[in-house]
Amino acid sequence: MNADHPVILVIEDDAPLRRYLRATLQAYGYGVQEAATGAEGRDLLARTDPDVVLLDLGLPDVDGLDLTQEFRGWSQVPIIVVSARGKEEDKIGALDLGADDYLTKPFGSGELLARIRVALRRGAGAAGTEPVVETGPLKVDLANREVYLDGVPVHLSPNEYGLLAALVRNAGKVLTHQQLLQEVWGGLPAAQSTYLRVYMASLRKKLEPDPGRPRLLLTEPGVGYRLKA
Amino acid sequence: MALPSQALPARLDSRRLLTALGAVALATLTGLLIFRFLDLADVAMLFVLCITVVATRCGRWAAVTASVLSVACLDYFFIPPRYTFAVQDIRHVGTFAVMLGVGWVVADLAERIRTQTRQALDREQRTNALYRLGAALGEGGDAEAIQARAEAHIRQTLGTPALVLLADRNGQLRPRPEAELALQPDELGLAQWSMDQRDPAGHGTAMVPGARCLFLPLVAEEAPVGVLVLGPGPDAPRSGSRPGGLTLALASQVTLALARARLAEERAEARRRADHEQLRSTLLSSVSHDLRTPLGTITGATTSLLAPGPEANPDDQRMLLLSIHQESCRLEQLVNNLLDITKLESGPVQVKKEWVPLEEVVGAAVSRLEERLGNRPLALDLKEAWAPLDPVLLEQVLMNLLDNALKFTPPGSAIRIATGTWGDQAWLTVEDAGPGFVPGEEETVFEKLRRGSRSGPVPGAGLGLAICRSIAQAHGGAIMASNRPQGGACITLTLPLEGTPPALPQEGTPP
Repeated sequence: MNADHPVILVIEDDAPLRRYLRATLQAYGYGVQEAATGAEGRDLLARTDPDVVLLDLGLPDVDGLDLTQEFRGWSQVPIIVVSARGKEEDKIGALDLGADDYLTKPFGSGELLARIRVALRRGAGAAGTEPVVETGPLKVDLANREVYLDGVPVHLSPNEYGLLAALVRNAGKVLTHQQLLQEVWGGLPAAQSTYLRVYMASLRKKLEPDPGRPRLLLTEPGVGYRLKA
Repeated sequence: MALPSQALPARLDSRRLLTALGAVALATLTGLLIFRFLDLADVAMLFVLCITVVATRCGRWAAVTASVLSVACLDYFFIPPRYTFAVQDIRHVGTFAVMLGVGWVVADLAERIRTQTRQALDREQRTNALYRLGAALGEGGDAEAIQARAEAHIRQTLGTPALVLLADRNGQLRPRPEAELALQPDELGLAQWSMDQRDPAGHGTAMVPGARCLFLPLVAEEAPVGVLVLGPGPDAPRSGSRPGGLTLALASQVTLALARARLAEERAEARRRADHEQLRSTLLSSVSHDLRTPLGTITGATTSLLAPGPEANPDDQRMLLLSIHQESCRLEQLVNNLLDITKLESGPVQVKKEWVPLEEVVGAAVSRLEERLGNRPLALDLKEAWAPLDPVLLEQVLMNLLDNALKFTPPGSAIRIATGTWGDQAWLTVEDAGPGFVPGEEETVFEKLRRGSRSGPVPGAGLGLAICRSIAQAHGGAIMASNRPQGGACITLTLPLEGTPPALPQEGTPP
């Protein structure tokens, strides 16, 4: 962690988008490293030790998925992939290969900063180790397996709790169906994602006052779920 | 190439010869019986009668035989000296010559009448056959229908299995292994040769005369349309003979019908292409307008923000930035719709169906539009409803429906989303309190580039609902527009419930 000024490595071939990212990130106190190609990005990642990588999946020189996998081979830096709408397979692929999150073009600065904050927290090793996680009205005591909504204890079945705990440990980060099935049931084939939906629906019934307008358990259609951080 | 109808020559077979012999014998016997009462000339007339009868019944060569026999019998039995072939009176030689001459002439006449009768019968039969085929083929239909009807008809008329092979655009015959008359690869090659050379081939022709089938090219206006294959059958043309006139006439009629069908197909194709062109140009003009308008606003707003003129007040600056943002969102929506419609049009849509609760799709779309919804009253009436659907595509439907509801209704008016199941269908409705649809436009609003008459100044290309309908149909479902009794639009999406919905597995056991 680069102390007070975390450094973001932006690997993006489009110059205007790069300019926008630099301006926004610098305005919020981040240091910015820019790479226009995958090769440049690889070089910068090795030399500068950034805190978060923003990686465009549509680079001209390398396949973004290959690069994700390569980076994961030798670096634990959080990776946020950026891709176009309608490329759900790419997003799932990148996430399953170890990317931490994704942004869909076009995105606003609010969304960008939120994703970076979550990634930084994870990179710092803060998330996933706290025994008690609080987000909005929800409080989960991971050590004692207790769940409170607005201070009132909620009774969850083991599977519901397992699902919630996985999301809580990764608060703010999207988890693919495959990753959730792995975490909660020790790896069921992705075709079993119906079970995931069944438990998610019953979990929402218990935790969301209005399941059609979820405040905590967000759906990323075709990709997975995310606990609002 | 038309061949003359084949009038078979009156051959002298044993049956005809026996008839001739019998007739002469009968004439001789009768002559012997009545000779004592009559003159020699009358007996001669008896023989002439016999020759005439034989000529009309048995053809020329039987008549000639009868003439010769008659002369011999007349000479032997009746001309003095009787019971010898000798002739006393030289005048009787004249009688013999007349009898032979009469026999020849009568035979010739009778033969001609027989030929004409046969030809007339042939013609009538042919006309009938052609008329029936013409009527059958005249029922129209595409090339495949004509193919089937022609085969059935020719089989019935000629009594041989028939196969019509069609040529594709590259002039290659399309094999039909499923047909009743199945061709071997070499036979198919011969068929192709026949069409390429525009010459009959196979059985009884110059090209592979020993083949099992006869191949007749079907050529319309210099362009081969296919090949008629006649299989072995009772009436198959005899070895060495050319295909009959009837066969050729049938073939030419099939050719005409096929050419007609092909022309109709080409015309339909041309019309489709023209429609497509028309659609494309409409799309292009509509889209270029819808793309330019927001771009104009964005360019204008940014230039005035960048201009080194007098310092604008912060409120104005914010307003300009806000309009840039709004117009960018509009552009995004339009580009998304354009990409969607292109994807949906470019082929069958890949629908990845999974059992998903509709509430989850609603939740995803609503959270994505949270910013635009602002403080709009949004009523959700979501009864538990699971359906097999593609969550990404369904979210798109809902986004488009909500986008419309936001665009076409006054700010602050309520929007309601409801879901449920009914029989073997899941349904989802999006209702608003806007102006609703003009009666009669409930169906047309789903057409591409079609905007409701009440769209007014609201920008849009008329793609959103068309996309929704494509997605609904790709799911095997339907989408309908209606007006609420209390005013406002209502869009209803229905999805078929196929298979068993998932149930909550027993806790504690692995699912």
